[in-house]
Amino acid sequence: MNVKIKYFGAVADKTRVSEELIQFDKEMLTLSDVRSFCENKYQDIQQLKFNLSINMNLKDEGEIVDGDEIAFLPPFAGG
Amino acid sequence: MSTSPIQFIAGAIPPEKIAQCISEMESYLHVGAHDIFLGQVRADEIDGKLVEGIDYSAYEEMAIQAFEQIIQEGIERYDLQKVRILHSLGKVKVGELCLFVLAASAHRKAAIEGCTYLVERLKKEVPIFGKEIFQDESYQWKVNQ
Repeated sequence: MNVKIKYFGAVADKTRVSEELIQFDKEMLTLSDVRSFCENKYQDIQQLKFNLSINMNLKDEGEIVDGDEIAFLPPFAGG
Repeated sequence: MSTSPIQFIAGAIPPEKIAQCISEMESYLHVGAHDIFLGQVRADEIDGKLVEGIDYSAYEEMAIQAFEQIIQEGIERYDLQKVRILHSLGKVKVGELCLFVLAASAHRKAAIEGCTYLVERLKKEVPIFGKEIFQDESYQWKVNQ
């Protein structure tokens, strides 16, 4: 399945990309799977504080389906 | 004239834009009070370095969704007639405006409390990010308290 992953703020500083499309060869994929994959690919993000979202909803965990959009969201700083 | 209650502005919010938002309220005849909040970039000193500006970025689609939910809940809770929010994206220098929130209601208590509610919630819940840029061009990421 294809998953779009977006990176923001301090996380994007480390990944050096703001978004990418990743193809996962798994029938069942969870948010933890995606997080582990990204933390392995971009080891420097492991020390950073961030939340995750699935299709613009903050989630701690969840099932991922083809076409979902995940975002790595460091602490907010609006205003 | 934009009808959306939320707008992202490239760079600093010009005071003229704020005046325009206020004058838009003229046609809402059941409004008796506006409360407004303005956020300005402050020259913080961090570890001996002075902040020169903030570079704002956002997960824009999610930010709009979060703003809309906060506004809707603010309107229901405080019986607000109209809300306008402007937030900067990109670089805003110290002394310049980065946030404008206007809450308009029939009476002042609702407007004042509604405006505060909107400001406190948006600072916690809207996915906007800020790079505090120092005079030596180094930076750190801002975290809302």
